[in-house]
Amino acid sequence: MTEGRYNIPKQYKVDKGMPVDAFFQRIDNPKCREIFKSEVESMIWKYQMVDKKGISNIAELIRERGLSVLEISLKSKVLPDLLTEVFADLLQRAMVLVYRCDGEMAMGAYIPMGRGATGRICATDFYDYDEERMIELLDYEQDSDKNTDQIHKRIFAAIRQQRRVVMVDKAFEQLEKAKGRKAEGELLPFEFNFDNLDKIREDADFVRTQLRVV
Amino acid sequence: MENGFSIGVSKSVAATVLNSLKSGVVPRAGLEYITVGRKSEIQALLQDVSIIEQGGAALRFIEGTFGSGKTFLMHALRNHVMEKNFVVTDVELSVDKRFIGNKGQGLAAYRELIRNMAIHASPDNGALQLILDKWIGSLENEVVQNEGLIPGHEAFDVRVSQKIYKVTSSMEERVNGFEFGKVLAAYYKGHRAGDMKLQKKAVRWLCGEYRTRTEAKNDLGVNLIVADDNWYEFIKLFADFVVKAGYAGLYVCMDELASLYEIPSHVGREYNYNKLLSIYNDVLQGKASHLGLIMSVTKEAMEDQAKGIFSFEPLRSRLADSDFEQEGSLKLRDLASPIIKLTPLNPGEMYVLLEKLAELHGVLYDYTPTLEHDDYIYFLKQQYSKLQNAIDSTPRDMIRNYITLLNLIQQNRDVSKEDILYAKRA
Repeated sequence: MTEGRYNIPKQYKVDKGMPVDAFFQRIDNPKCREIFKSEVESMIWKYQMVDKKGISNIAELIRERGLSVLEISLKSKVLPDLLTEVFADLLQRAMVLVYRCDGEMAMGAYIPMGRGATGRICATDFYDYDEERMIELLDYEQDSDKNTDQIHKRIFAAIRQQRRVVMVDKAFEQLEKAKGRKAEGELLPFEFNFDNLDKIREDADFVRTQLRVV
Repeated sequence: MENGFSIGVSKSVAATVLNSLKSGVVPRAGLEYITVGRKSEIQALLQDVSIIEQGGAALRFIEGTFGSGKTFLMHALRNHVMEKNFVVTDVELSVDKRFIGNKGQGLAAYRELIRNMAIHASPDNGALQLILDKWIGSLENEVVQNEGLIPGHEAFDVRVSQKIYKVTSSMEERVNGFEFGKVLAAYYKGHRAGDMKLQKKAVRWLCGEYRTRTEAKNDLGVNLIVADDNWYEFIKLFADFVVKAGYAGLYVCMDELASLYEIPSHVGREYNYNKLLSIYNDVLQGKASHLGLIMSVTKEAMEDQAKGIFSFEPLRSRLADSDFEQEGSLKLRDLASPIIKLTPLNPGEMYVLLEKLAELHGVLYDYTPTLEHDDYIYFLKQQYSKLQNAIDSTPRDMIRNYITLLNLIQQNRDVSKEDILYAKRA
């Protein structure tokens, strides 16, 4: 997340980080308070993306409806799903959350659905910094004619996809670890390439036609 | 994925397949939609079917480990030949049902076979009376159509009777054919006279339910009954008869041949293996016609030199692999040999099977399955890792787990499939 990526007229950087304490006062749920107290090292309101132009002061910017990007550093790993739920409950605004811990990152997103509704929440598990997995918070080509709601939805979808990728990778890793097998081939003595699978499908289709009596 | 198979598969068939597999049993219908990795075996068995249709006979043993798909393959063939106008029947051999035994176990197996006779119009069982009635009906139709006589005409019954007796007398040349034909004639006589009791007696005799010859003599005028030592002759007669009644032949499925291996006494096993030998010789020597026999057996029950079928030298020398099959570095299989050895489905074949089951699940519950390549691989890895050795694994438990997974994904749309499949599982 370099500053240059957000250097567009519609977007404003929040210069001052928001102290964790300010949030802490607003947390009613004891479990959430416990998590904040023991696990959150710092929380910075990094960016606020709005559609309105010409906002000159931060107070107005923060009040303005838009997309908030927050970066949260953790002392130890807490489930990003849980954290995202806590932040969504606290802030009740459209946001993207970036969690950092032990050199790894995770991302979460919240789309409010209006008063009384739960809204949509999604978060990835922690993963290593990886350029291929970097989610562009602003994609100039895709986002040039989009408003913040549309950008938010794109990011939400990307995070949801990332969630799957991270989850699948971790599950495979754990499976390999649990069985003490390093090489993939040892666990399944078969090469799952499309040619092999297509041949099997083709044979099965042939057998089906043979067994079916017209 | 080309999923054209889902086109035309009904919800009821999809439900039968998935519910049966979830319960760990082989479905009775829809097997063609989930048959994977058995191309060579099916080809070999269909070749047999073609021979049987043309008046020949065939006998095959399907050998494989528990859960390798022996029963599945037999049922797939059973369904196929039934659609091809065969009369099919099946029996699961057990302590009480064998080829021969001192407590009438051979006769019990025969009775089960006759009870389980099925045809396209009556696919589950109990088709014997339907076959007999169809036979009479078709001869009556012939008389109406070819000779212009109508029921009630004084010559009608005579002409039908002549046709009936032509069929029954043609069977007299066969062993026990005289009595068999006579009982068929009695059934017709009952039909013509409206004598249901006589018809029932004839059916009872054909089902092997007469206990004494005297009783059969008194009721039907035949001095013979189906017994432990002659039941196979009647199976051959039935094969002959059903063709005359308008069917393509008789296809007999015998499951759990391993129960012979479990007979505790050496003498009991020898008797049964001897009976099996005589059936084998009979079929292979061309003494039977329009008859197919398919028997499932475990590798141990077949090849064990102490108690298995191979412990009986005449059968071992006929059934054992040739040197080429055993020693060939290419591991080529002779699929014309009487034993078809089922190898377990490889992980790729399991993968395609999972795809097909997902498609059926989608058909059943009106949704598009969402599982992806990684999901299949992960599921397979996870399941295989539970087993000591993937090569010896059986798909039964895996399939049951998989259907549960599909159910959970479909029933919990608000939870992502990743959360169900991956989360905290490894």
